[in-house]
Order: sequence, then structure tokens, then C-alpha cells
Amino acid sequence: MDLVETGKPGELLPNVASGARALSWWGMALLIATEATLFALLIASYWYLRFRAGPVWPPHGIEKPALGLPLIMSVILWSSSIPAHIADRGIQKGSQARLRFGLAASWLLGLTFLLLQIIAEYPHSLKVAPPSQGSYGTLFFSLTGLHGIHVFIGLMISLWVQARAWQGAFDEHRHVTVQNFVMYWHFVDTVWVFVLATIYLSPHFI
Amino acid sequence: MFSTGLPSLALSFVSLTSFLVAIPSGIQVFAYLATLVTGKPKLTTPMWYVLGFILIFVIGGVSGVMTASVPLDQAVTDSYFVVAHFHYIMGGVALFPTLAALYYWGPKIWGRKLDEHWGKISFWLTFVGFNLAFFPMHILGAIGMPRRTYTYASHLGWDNWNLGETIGTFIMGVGILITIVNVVRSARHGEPAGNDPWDADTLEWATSSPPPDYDFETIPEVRSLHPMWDQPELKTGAQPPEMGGRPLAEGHRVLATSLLDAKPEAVVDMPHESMWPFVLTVGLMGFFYGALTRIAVVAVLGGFLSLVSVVGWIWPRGQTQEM
Repeated sequence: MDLVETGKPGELLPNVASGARALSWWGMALLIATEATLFALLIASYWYLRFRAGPVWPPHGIEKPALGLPLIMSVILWSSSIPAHIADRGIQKGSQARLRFGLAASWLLGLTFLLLQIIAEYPHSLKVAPPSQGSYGTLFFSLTGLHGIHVFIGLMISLWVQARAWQGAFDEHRHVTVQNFVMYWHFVDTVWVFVLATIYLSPHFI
Repeated sequence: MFSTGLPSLALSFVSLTSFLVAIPSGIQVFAYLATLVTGKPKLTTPMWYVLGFILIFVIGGVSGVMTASVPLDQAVTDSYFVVAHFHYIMGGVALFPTLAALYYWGPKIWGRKLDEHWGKISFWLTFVGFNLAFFPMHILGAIGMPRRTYTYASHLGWDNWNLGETIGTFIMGVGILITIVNVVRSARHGEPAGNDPWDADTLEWATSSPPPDYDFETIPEVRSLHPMWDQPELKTGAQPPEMGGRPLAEGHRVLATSLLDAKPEAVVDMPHESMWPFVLTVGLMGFFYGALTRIAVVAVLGGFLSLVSVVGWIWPRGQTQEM
């Protein structure tokens, strides 16, 4: 670790910061706060319109969303947080292997989720609840689509972090970029709990 | 909000959140008052503007609590009562503190004090004019004058209140005009401010007026809530290293410290000037303009430019990358 002089007599400090001492960590934390607000507002609109619509939901004879595929997708997405966590912990102990493996595994799981959503889930939902024909379809695609965009952006960030990891840019002291990405990725996975509960589960149970 | 035809469940929710606004606002006002009571306030122009601000903000806050109640709001909605309320809030939170800040920090910005005598005159004209212009609106709203009325029949009993408002507006205008002239004149011919014209306690008064680009020669170590009063070595803006001032001379750097007790833990490299954030905004503007006007070429080009500039922005440049 590089130590640098601050100019105060005899004081040497590390020239690197991670976690809450790093500026970019706060940038990511605040970004997550604003994005969480965005999701909370959309979910609140869903519930507002759901209770305004009367006892039958989804309205206008739209069938309830199928649960099988979304639940499989959820398990895949949530399991991607585990290798991300391994990568984060690994580089804190200086393990390049765990960093590279963890990032790659979580990237593949995230990509699988996104591909399943685009190729298998959306074509079905587009037929059942077209977004251009009523608020239910609009809410469905706004919420899941916004989440999908966040997954996509997370995959892009991950590509960058992985490229830097293969260059050997991170070690046990310099790794705040990894921390920031993993924090974002956990956020994307956590938000999906609420999106899944609202969009897919609630019509079956409430 | 309450007259838009929302169901009563939503009405009570909106009403509840409106009432809740009173709690932080109240705490805020008591914090101002406690600061004044525990300190030794000097009645200079900035302080007069702050006192005016507190009074106006409290009046606006009280009418805010009133409009949070559903039945009262349904009676006064779209009337001049609402106009009175939000002018007191905007006057409270924007106009008066801004003028106070102008008189207080103006000397730090351009190095010369504003004229105190004319400052106090400007305060009283602005304050009296403001209240004369906006307080009668409460009464006009309560007796039924709708907002956005540009003319009305003369037998409705609104004439005298409106005449008073007009006079108040002109008085306030003269007050603000005096402030503008004061700023323009004092910025050239005012009394030189020196580092600290107010004998104030906070750090911005440690350095020269106007401050140099680097603000402080050394990043000062602060050991008091009132550093300028308790640490005389700060007076020149260059705390010596043996007393804690850190030059951090090797680059564009700041200290990272622990959150609660500010123990220095690391030296962090700050980002350097970069054109990429500007390029990114141009790209984003193109992307959203194209998306809104459905000109696909502009949107695609803008999106591509945005991606390129993000990559350019975070492209590693030596050790400043891992901040």
C-alpha cells in the first residue's frame, strides 16, 4: 500500500480509500437512493390504480400473470448476488481468482435473467396485456422494463469492472470500483423482490 | 389537491403528509431561535433579513398547517389565500435568506462591505412592503376572491385590500432596488472587507476576501465548533503544519476522515478537470431530444455519444482512477 506524506510532521497516510471513505461510494449510495425512490413511486402507482379499479384485478378480463417462468427467473437473478458477494469479499482479501470468477458468474446469471425476460416472458405478456391498451399493461411493462434496464446497465458496468479486473487494477487496498458495482448489483436484485411481489404475486393473493 | 376529486382514503393520506411537514419545519424554526437565544446576535443588515425571514416563514407555516386541513382547504382552494400562503413560504425560504446571504457573504465574494445604513433602509422597505403586499391576500382569499383574477367589479369589497397590496408591491420594489444599487456601488467603492468583517466563527472567514482558487494554503484542523473564535492561528488562512494544517502538496488531494471524530484515515486524489461530463450532457440531450421528437438518427447518435463519453470519463489515468 502506498503511504504518502500529508505535510503534518511525521504523518503518513494511505493514498487509497474504499467503502464509505471513498467519494465514489457515496455517489453510488445516492444513486441507489434515487433509483429506489423511482421504483417506490411506480409501485405506489400500481397499488393506487389497483385499488381504484375495483375488486377484479387485472381489469378487463386480462388473465393473471403466469408464475412459473418469473419464479425461475427470480431464482436465477437472486443467485447472481452470491458470486457478486464472493467477488467483493475475495478482492478485499486480495484474491484475483475469486474476483474474476465471481464477477463472471454473476454476469452470466444476470444475462440469463435478462434473456429469459426478453425472449420468453415478454412475448407472452405483450399478447396478454399490451401496454398500449390500458393502465394495467402500462404498469406491468413500466415496472418490469425499468428493472430490466437496470439489469442491462448493471451488466454493462460489470463488463467494465471485469475488464479492469483482468488488467489487475484491483487489489486488497484498491477495490472501491468493485464495491460500488456489487452494491448496485445487490440493489437490482433487492428491487426485484418488490417488483416480483407487486406485479406477479399480488394478483394471485390479493 | 383536495378539490381534484381524489377518493377519501387518498385525501386523508395527503392531509396526513401535509400536516407532517409542520414537524420538521417547526424543529427548524426552534433551531433558529435557539441559535439566536444562545448567541449574541448583532443587529446588522444580514441579521435583520434573517429575523424578517423567520417571522415570514412562521406566518407561511401557520397558513400551511391551515391548508393541510381538508375542509378549510376545500373552502379556500384556488383563492387568494393560497397565493398568500405560498408567497409567504417562497418569501420566507427564498427571498429574505437570499438577501441576508447577499449582505453577509457579499464581502467575501467581492472583497468589499455593503453599505450598512442603506442596507437597513432596504430591509425595512422590503419587509414592510412584502407584508403589505401579501398579508391582505389571506383576507381576500377568505372573503372569496379567486386567484388569477386580473379585474373585478368594484362592489365586491375587495378594492381597498387590493389597493394596499399594490402600494406594498411598490414599496418592496424600492427596497430591492436600493439593495441592487447598494451591491453595484459597494462592489467598487465599499469599505474593504478584510478576511473577516463580521468577527464570525466559521472557516470561510479565515481566508482572504475574495478567496484564492485553492481557498486555504493548508487544509486546517478544526478543534472547535467556533474555530475562528477558539483557534487564533486560523486567522491568516494558513494553519502551520505543526498545528495540524496539511498542505497535501503532491497533487489535487483531500483528506478522507472517519465519520464521527474526523480522524484522518487516507489521502484521496480528486478528479481533474475533464471535458467528458460536458460531452455526456450533449449526448444525453441529443438522445432525449431524438426520443421525444422521434428522430431516430439523433437519438441513436446521442445515445452512442453518451456511452462513449461515459467510457472516456472513467478511462483510467494513472492513480487517480481508484478514488
